[in-house]
Formats: sequence, C-alpha cells, structure tokens
Amino acid sequence: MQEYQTDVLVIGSGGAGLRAAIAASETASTTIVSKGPLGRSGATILAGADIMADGGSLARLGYADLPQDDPAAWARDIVIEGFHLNDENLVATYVENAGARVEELLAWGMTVRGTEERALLTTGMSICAALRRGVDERERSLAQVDGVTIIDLLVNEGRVVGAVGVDFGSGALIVFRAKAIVLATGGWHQAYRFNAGADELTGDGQGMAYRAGAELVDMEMVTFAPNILLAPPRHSGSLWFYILPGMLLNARGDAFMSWEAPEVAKLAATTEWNKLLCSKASMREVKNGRGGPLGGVFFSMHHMPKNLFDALENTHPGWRFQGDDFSELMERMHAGEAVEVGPAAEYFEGGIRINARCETSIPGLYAAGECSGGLFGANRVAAATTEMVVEGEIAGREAAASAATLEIFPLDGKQMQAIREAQEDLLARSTGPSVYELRRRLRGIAYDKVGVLRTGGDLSEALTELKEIESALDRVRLTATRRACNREWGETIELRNMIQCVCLSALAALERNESRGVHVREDRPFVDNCAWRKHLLVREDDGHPVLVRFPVVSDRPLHKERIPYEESILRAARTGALWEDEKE
Amino acid sequence: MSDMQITIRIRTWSDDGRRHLGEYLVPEAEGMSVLNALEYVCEHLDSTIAYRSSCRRGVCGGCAMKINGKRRLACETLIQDGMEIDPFDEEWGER
Repeated sequence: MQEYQTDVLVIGSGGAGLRAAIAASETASTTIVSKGPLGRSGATILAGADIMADGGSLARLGYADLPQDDPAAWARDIVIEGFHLNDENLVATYVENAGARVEELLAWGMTVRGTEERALLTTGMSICAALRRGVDERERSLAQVDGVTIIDLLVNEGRVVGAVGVDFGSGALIVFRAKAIVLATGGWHQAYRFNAGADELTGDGQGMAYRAGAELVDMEMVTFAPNILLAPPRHSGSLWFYILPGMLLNARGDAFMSWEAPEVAKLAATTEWNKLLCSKASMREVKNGRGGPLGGVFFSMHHMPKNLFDALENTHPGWRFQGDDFSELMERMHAGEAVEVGPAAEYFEGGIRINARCETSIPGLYAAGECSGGLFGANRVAAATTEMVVEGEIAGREAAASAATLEIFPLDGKQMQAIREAQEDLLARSTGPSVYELRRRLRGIAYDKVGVLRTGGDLSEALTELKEIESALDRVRLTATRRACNREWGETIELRNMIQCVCLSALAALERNESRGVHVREDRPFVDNCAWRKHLLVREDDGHPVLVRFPVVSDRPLHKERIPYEESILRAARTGALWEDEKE
Repeated sequence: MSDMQITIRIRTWSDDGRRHLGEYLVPEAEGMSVLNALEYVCEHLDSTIAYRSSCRRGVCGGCAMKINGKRRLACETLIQDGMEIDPFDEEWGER
C-alpha cells in the first residue's frame, strides 16, 4: 500500500484547510489532501462573500464604517442572535483573531468591493486566491495531494495516527501516517434534496471523526437559505435570486410573505433572519399543497418597474454571477415569468466539537471551519469565511506544535485490515442495492423530515427510515468493479458519512423538544431557556450514538439580553400551526 | 421536461478496462448542462461512467473535460444532441 509520512495532515482544501496548511508548514512537515480540486474545493470558492471583523479592527485597516466598535461588542451580538447557545470561548477566539486574519488576507491580495460596518465585501474566489498566494509566499515543507477521498481516520490506543484514502485516478488505497491531523472538510450539504453546496460537501470529516470516537455538537442546527433556484437544471442550487430583489409567490400567485405579522415580514426583509423566516414561510406553502411541481415556491420580479429592473443590470453586469450567465433567465423574469425556487441547505452550525485551541476530544485530532461546531450556536449571523481562517490558523499552528514533541506512531494492524477488507468486499459484491437509489432516498428524508420545519413525528419516522438506508448501505453493489476512476465507489464512501450526519442531526432535533434559532419544531413553538440552554453532544459508544446534554458555559445574564427577535420568530412558527388548524 | 430525447456519446470503460464510447438516450430538458446529462446517465442508465465535478457554478474548473473535441466546463456547457464527451482526456486520464 502506498504510504505518505508527514508531521501534520490537513484534510480538505477550502479556506480552513489552506489556512491550516500555511500555519502548520511554518514549523512542521505538512501534507494537504483533497478529493476536489486543490485550493479551489469546498464551500469557500462559492462564498457570497463578506469577511468580517469588529469595526475597530477594520478602522485600523482603513475601513472606518464603525470605528467605535470592539471585539467584545461584536461577541455580544453574535451570542444574542445565536440564541445564547454559542460556545463563548470559541466566540471570544473568533472575534479576537478576526482582525489579524483579515489584515493578512489583504496583504495576500484579497480584493475589497465594498464595506459594511463589520465586513469587507469580497468574493470567495478572491479569498481562495489570496490563501494560495499565502501558500506560495515562501518555501515551505508542504506536500499537496488531490483526487484522494479519505475513507477513515486511523486510531491507535485512543490517539489519531493517520488516515487511509482512495486515489480516484488509480483506485489505489493510500495511507497517510501523521502525528497530528486537521479536519477541514466543510458541511454535509449534499445530503439534502435541495442544497447550495459544492459536490464534495458530504460530511466526511464529521463522519470519520464520529467513527473514530470524537464528540460532535449542535448537530440539529442547520441553516437553510431561501430563494435557491430549482430550475433550469444547470442553475439548480444557485443563490442568484437570494441576492436579487423579488417577491415570493405560491402556486396560486399569493404573495405569502404578506400574510406574516408585520414585524415578521420586516425582519424577513431587512435582517440576517431573512434566511430562516423566508425558508419557513416557503416550506409552509409547500407542505400545505400550494407549492410548485418541483417542490418549491415561485420567485417573481414582475412588481418591478422596467426602469428599476434595467438599473439592476448596472450592479450585476451581463447578469453574471460566479461563473454562471443568467441573461436567458433574466429575459424570462423581465417578461413577467416566475421561476421555481426553494429553501436549500446552506450552512451547518453544528459539527465536530472543538475547544478554543481547535482540539477535538481525540488526542492528535483538530478541526477547523464549517466541519467544527459550537461557535455560532443556534444561528450563524457572522461570517463563516472569518471562521475558516481564524480556526484554520489555530488548528494548523496547534497541530504543528503538538507534532514537534512526538514520533510517528505505529498503526493498528487490525483496523487497517478491517478497512481494506470492507473495500474489497464492496468491490467484489455481485448483488445489492444501488448507491444512487439510496442517496435519492436519503436526500428526500433529510429535506422533508429533518429540514426547515420539524415535528417529533416526522423526526421519529426519519430515524426509522435512515436505519433502513444505513443497513442497505452495507449491501451496496457497485456496477463497475474496476478500481480506477470508479465514481460509484467514491459516492459509497461519501454516502456513509452523509447518512451518519443526517441520523445524528435527526436524533438531536428530536431530543431538543423546543424551538431555538434555525431549529424550528412546529410541535414545540417556544424557547425553553430553563431546560435547553444546553448543547447536545453526541458520540459513538459500542456502535450506538449517545446523546449528552451539556450546559452552555457563560457569564452573561440571560434575562438582560433577551433575543430581540424571539417573539417574532416564535409568532412565525405558531402561524404555521394556525394554518394547519384552519385546514381542519 | 419534454418527451423528446437526445443521443449523446460518453467515453467510458469496458469491463476489461479498455476505453470505449458509450451511446446514451437522455430526455431533452431546457437549460440542461453537460454535467446534468452526465448525472442523469450515471444515476439512471449506466453507473460505470465516471467524471469529476465540484462547484457546479463555473468557478473551480473541476469539471473541465473534452466536449466535442474542445476542453470546456461541463457545468457551463449546454448539452446538445450528438455531443461527444470525454471526461478524462489524455491530460487527465493517465494521472
């Protein structure tokens, strides 16, 4: 078996992985491995994007929109809007390091298109390019390996000692022996029928960390973004209409956002809560049979006077966004058509539990960026781009520091053999279900029952169905038994991770019998701060998930800092219940 | 989706590991990219084909492949009747 040896192994090459690799390779031999295109994969390159720091730090960099601001004031806002579920040690680390990370990205050539009080407006492409320049800035001991999907972490005597993956091009299994590992693999977007993530975002880091015995946290917290294109197929998943002004209609043509209470409609139009409130209202239409043929609602720009519509093109030249050309679609919008859109999985607040040094609960294992959990509590209102560079830098630096004192550890021969045999069995199996069929089922269950609107009944059903899919996965048959360029093989590895993430998300969502932030239980439309200002931790014990409630550590008095939107958001949740009543 | 179908050819592997061109009938749909067509074939017709894809938005370059002899992005190229697609041309296949 091909073998690499390295001090620090970084898995994933979006923003968190790149920043971790830069930090680790300052002092330690480092290898960065990615299944997607190196330095261009994951969520980073498609980020909106703003990158945030407190206004005071930005003022020192020459962007003085909110000069009197400081990290502590920003932290306070993040925690209040996170429904007081944030890990406040992580929040402190985030706000205190943000300024330095933004400054360094600027030095590496990140472009600034505009400013907001606590943000610089840029693009994900520009952030990626800046980080790649950071990598190239000077000679470093950094090996870069792409096209390799990591199957599992290797653990020996409770410590992470390496990872094993499969090289897509050759089909060979590859072992990476490492003294420390940084997971930077992003979210599990691809587990949902509608999502706004890149193809490689399949929860690999969360899955392999969980199987290795690490604790995960806040897995029930998933942000859905509204107005995501469902058609035409080539634009499916794009955020184009999320950034344009428009009106949401149901299949009957009702402008259903106007049915919300006035303060809810205002929040949905003007605040960061638009994601949750518009997603929720859209799903209510779909669930009540007033959705479109694809399972979404409709986005219209027909209300816009012609001159205002035309003026929009000045701010969106050529109707281009990211690499897509929307001119054909915009002609249809201009002619008064409505196009089907829907809420799509966009960001995962939960993930691998880390402390402020980005250490997981397993010695030698670190996590950074979206695959980690706890920073944003029940709702992310600050930039994930800042999260990835802050945590990436810390994880890389800490991993390198721990590696400096250690030798390469021996592998556990039994674990190696088990992984090899499982893959051989999979390639040799002559009957069994198709991975694509199972993936389709998973995506439907995840979106319909562990999605925007949740009920205890739906979540229980989902868990039963997920169990079936999980056991069917052990019997999957690949159509092609060749090793080289076997796409189905990679999809099978990914599917296992996605099933685990959705299972744990459903389990935590069922256990948390209240509503909080992006977790909306229609059957429990209230925030229960007495019982539930607690994280749900989950880890594997003897093959089964064990949930533990863990109080939020905070010295903030809750009663003085009431979540400003709490009443409005709960009212929106209760409106859904009212509609159900009226139908009967 | 209309009832019309288009024929496309995709370079893939035979059981003995040799490369050959497979021919597939794909339902014609408005605004369907080469990437969408590859996904349709993979999920419904022939799971032995292989290709790479990542961002789906024309940014990362991960789905660059030979389409009618030219190197283009599968996610940004509209599918057409008679297209010939080689997801792994000589630049990529032998890696």
